[in-house]
Amino acid sequence: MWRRRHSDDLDSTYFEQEYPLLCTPGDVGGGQQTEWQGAVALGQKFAAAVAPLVLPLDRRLERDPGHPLSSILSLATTHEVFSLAIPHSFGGKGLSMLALGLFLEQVAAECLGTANLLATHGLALAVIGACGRLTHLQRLARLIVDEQRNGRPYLLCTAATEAEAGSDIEDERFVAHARFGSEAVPVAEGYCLSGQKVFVSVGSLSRLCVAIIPTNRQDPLGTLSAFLVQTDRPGFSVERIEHKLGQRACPAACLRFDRCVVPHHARLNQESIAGRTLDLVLGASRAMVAGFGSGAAHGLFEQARGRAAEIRCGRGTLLDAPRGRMLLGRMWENATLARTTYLDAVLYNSRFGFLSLLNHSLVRRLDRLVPSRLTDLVAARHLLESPLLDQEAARALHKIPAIGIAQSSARGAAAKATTSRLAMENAEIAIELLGAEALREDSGFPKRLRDIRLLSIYEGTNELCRMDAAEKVLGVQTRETP
Amino acid sequence: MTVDTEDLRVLEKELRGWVARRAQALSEFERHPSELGLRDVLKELASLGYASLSTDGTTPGIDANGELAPTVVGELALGSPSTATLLLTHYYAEALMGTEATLPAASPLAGSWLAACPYQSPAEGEPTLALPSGPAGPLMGTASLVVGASVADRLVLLAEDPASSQVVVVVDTRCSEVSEPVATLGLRGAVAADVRLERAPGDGFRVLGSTTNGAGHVERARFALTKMAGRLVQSLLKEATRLAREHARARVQGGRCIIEHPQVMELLDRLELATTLTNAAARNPDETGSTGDALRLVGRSARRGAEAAMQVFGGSGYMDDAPIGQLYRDILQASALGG
Repeated sequence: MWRRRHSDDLDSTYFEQEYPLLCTPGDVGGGQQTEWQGAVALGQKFAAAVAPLVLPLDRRLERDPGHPLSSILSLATTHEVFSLAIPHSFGGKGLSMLALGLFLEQVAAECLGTANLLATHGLALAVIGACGRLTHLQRLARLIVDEQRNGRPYLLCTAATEAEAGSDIEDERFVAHARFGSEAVPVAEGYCLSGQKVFVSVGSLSRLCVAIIPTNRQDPLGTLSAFLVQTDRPGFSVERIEHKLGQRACPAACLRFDRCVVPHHARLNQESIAGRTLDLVLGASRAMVAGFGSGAAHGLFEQARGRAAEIRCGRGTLLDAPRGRMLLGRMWENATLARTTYLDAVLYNSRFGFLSLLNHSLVRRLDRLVPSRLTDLVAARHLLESPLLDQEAARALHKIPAIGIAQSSARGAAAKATTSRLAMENAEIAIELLGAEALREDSGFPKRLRDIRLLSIYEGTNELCRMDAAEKVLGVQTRETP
Repeated sequence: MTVDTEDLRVLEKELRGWVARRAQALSEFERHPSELGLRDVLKELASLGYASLSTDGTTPGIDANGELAPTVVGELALGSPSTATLLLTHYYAEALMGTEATLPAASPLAGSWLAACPYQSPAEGEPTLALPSGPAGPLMGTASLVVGASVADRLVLLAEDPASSQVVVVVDTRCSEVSEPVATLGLRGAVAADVRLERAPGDGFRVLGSTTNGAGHVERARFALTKMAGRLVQSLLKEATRLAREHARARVQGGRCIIEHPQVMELLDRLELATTLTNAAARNPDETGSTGDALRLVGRSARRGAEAAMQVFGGSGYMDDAPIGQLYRDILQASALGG
């Protein structure tokens, strides 16, 4: 049974009970059960620190979506959350993606908005990585670590969605028909970016934006590109912060690119990122979002069980009543199924997909051996700035077999759709179990419900994810719309 | 006396006209609920005669065939779900009071509007209001989520007596400690509050006699509540269906309107199914098994329908001011009516 522990250590029995899939023999990136246990413990510790903040903050953000998030960001900085997945050799914690997912799952169990606030940053890094730009990544890694040490988190966002192109961008078949309003026109100095992006998570807090824009809006499929844009660059502005129904701790902004000129090297890709590159990213990011669904389903179950034990029903409590037990049993079942589903997607990706590059045991062992002061040396820096590094990364990316990418993408999409549905089912059961009590904002349940609602929408709607998974698994490569 | 179909049609037409004439004010009230706006709407409804729909002389709020109050609530929900919830609560309170609802004007408990807790099920749950020494003793405890407590003249609540049976108590609002409005997920205009009571016998409250509020009588009130809640939810689902279809026809993805995509078709089918189920369960609660079963069916269908409608909109429905977002929250809130 799920029990919150708020200590630095997590006993292995608990971990084995909660994560049996991660305790089976086999090696996905170094057999790092200790690392995973540590990530769960850290997630629980961070979630406990965030817990008292989330409801008051949600109320403030309802009135003013631009309300500062300094309390949460300061906690994240103190816990060194933004450098968790950055290699040791660059001063980070060197967590594997799976361990990061376990950490975020625990945070999501407390507050989905906070989990998203922390993860969005990683999505931008994933896009840069999937484009094979290691030179950019290593520079950013240092910046993130340094700024975190200075107490000024260096956040990144990914600007993809447009008012007339929502989930279209998430699917190669839809990109061709997407009504893009934005365009990156080649100019002498580089590219001139124009247009508007909406629902950009953390867009208002970021210092660097990865903008997904076609260089020719008439041919988005063939020219879809990713650009690094410093948010203090002329022509870039935050038009507004959206009033959202939930996940308010992760503000969504509408960004404007008004003839914003970026240098040539700001373009991360050579070929269009529609298709293979986006599949690499989405396979991993959807699997991570699936972890949010698992966390949310567990969080709801835990809170509902706690409340049911307090509510009098007949001679006992709601927890003792047959109907109460039946409904809580279903919530547990959903939460357990959600975890299994998401772990399956992440484990598959760690072995065959994008994450397999990051999780390569040799790379990880090397990272543990190389101290960060070595990578700080001038000679090392020179090497790390070399275009050869990017070329090597591109070669490694191309070596990932198409079937691995397709299956990882399908599993990520299916896991995301499944766990968000299971989490929403738990929210519905909570209403059935607790009645109007579950609809009082001061109980915390409505916030959970509103937060969960967004899981079915972002990273491609669940409908699109299911369609994507079916296409990948069935091997249908038609470009026709369904 | 029964109300025939023609009467209902006339009533529906009258209400539709009123809702259409007051559309702007009602919509403004839903967006920015205020006690002043609420009082204005209720005053107008009372002057139009909707404060009491007694037609059979014994159970105000319910006519003999149980169609009048649900029709009023359902029609009003199309213009203002919160106002419809207030009216539903008022009728439910009337039904709980039975003939005692018509108190003489001189009575300190007489008044136009009644508040009650439409979320509390009289049959199950946790009554926190109690008469520990019986009907002649003090009234103590807290009634949570009392709808309309801040604007009503009287509160009609269920309290537990020493024999663990539930009795109806009518409380003068002037003697009650009404909390600040409780923020709820939806139906925020139907202001709900917690009411804390610690009253000596006869001090601003009255326990209704067993002749009018025996188990059968409470069950009848519950029956009325089920029908009204079902009709309210049904109206909201219909509106959600209209908005979802409209959006699905306008939004283009992959070069086609999304209404042509099988996934969206499935969502719309689910929405239709939910509306039909809600309708069936609410129209004949007796056929469902019991009012509890009917309420559960209505609640589940409502939540699933609301989910499907919201999903059709994707991100654009997730904005706080999106009409579908508001409807979604209202439907979820309404799904808990009746307990």
